[in-house]
Amino acid sequence: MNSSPSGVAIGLFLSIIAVTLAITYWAQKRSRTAAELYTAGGQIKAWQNGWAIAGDLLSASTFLGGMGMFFTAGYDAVIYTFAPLVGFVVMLGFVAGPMRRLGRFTFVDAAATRLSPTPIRIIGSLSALAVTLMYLIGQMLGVGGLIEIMFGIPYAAAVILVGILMVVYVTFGGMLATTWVQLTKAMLLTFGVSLLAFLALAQSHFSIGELYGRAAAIHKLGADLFQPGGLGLSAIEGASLSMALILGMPGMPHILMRFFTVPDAVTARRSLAISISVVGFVYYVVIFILGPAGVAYLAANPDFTTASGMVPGGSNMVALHLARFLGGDVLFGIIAAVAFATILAVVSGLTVAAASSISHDLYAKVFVRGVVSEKREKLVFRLASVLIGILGIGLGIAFKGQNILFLTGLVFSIAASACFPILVMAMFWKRLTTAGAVAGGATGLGLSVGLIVLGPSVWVQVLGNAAPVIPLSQPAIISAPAAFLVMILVSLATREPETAR
Amino acid sequence: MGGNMKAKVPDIQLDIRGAAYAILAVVIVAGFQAMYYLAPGALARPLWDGANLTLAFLLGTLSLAIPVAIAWWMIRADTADGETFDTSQH
Repeated sequence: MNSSPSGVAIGLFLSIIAVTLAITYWAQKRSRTAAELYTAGGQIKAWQNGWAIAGDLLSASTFLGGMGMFFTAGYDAVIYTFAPLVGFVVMLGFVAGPMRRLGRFTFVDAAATRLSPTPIRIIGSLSALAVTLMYLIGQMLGVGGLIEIMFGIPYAAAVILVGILMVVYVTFGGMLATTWVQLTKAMLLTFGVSLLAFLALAQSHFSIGELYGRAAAIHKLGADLFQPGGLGLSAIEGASLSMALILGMPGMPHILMRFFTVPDAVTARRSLAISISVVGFVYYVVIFILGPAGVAYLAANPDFTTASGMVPGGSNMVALHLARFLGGDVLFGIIAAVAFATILAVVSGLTVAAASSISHDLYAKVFVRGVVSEKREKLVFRLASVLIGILGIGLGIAFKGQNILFLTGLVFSIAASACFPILVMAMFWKRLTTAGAVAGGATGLGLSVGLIVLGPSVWVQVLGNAAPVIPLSQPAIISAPAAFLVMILVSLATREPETAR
Repeated sequence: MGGNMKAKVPDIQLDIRGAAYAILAVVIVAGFQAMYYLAPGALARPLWDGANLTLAFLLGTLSLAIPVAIAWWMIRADTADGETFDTSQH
């Protein structure tokens, strides 16, 4: 396949950069206080926040990784859609309203309300940093491959370019710039996948049955392409993955932070319902129409596959090749630009959350105990954004080659095991003590990270060992219940000092 | 939505109704996923004779539609309950 850059692709790519920098310039003038920098002053409207939350969640993992996973494993990719969507409902039922009332800038604000704040802020912010950095790796992997295939720019250079852009957005435009980049990108993505789906269905005379029949006739799984089992997950692993996605969603720091950008709890909940609808639509189109279309039109097409049967650039690039098949260089350029905007928006949101953990939770509230000028806290936020950018670039290069969607599953495991237990228990269980929260949070964080390192995804695929120490690819089924259990047991065995109440 | 919005200090209570709906959504998709392992043959059954679309397609569609419907149902009666910008800034 010819992967030389087209004029359309280059033009749209540069347009995305120009528009997002213009948004940042506009937002920079409106981001003077710490509240404006962290949460856009709490004045974002429900529809804006709803689309921005969708923009936060609809990442490279969803669009590029989702189609790539369907291309290789078929129907099992659907687990990565319904489970996060239910996680959104859990977030709506348990977290959204109370979070808005209790917190100010970060989810740790809410968790620390009833407990001794310093230890809670340390364990909460460490958990948030682990989640956001891992998520950032997935996004960097997507953008590296994307720009490499679009322009022939080396992977590492592409990752560095995106790292610099995200630091500029966050450092100068803060949450306001991030919000508008995210909602613009969510609308572009929704338009892009709708256009692709329309063209894909047109090729099959607008018959999903015909599309599915063509895909099944070509794929090595045959009719099983549309049956569960393609990922080869055992019942335990499947349950663990779903648990991670369902409990991890209400523990994602960058999404929780969005509830502070709206004026009140009602708006927070309304915005979440809007985002669930947008995300559900995009998930459906990506997995149930574009995934099968990628197989039907690319899998046996010598113009779009290599000798191994894979598309050039790997499975994460199926979306782009499908766009070129359906609409030539013009559609390829449009979809590549949409994917690029998608990644820019998500990495910006992640950077805001990570930098806030450092500047607000660790620096302002722990290291200097609240004795800090707003000017200095904003400076620390900006320096932290640069640090996160450097870390994101380094880790993105080091993890080259991992499947994006799989990495996302690991991120959700950490969020489900560390962030969610701390948050929900701190808000709703009045018997929880600081010692219990810290012990449970540390257990969840340590177990989820440790089991991931010792499991097949890192021990074998990254470190090159022959067999994993722990043969479990998704650890949440162990680490999340363990976090809750330790929290309860330690809380029952300890008493909260009166000064902390 | 739980909690007294006029309180001067944070007063957060679990929204029992919202929690119940969230748990309902979890139970529905857990049941769907359990079919992966308990009744894979049923999922492979065509929706009608000769169809390429199977029960897995229908249930997969519902697994995405039901959470969206539940979310809108959950917020249908949301009111500010006396909440003001100040009380939401606890």
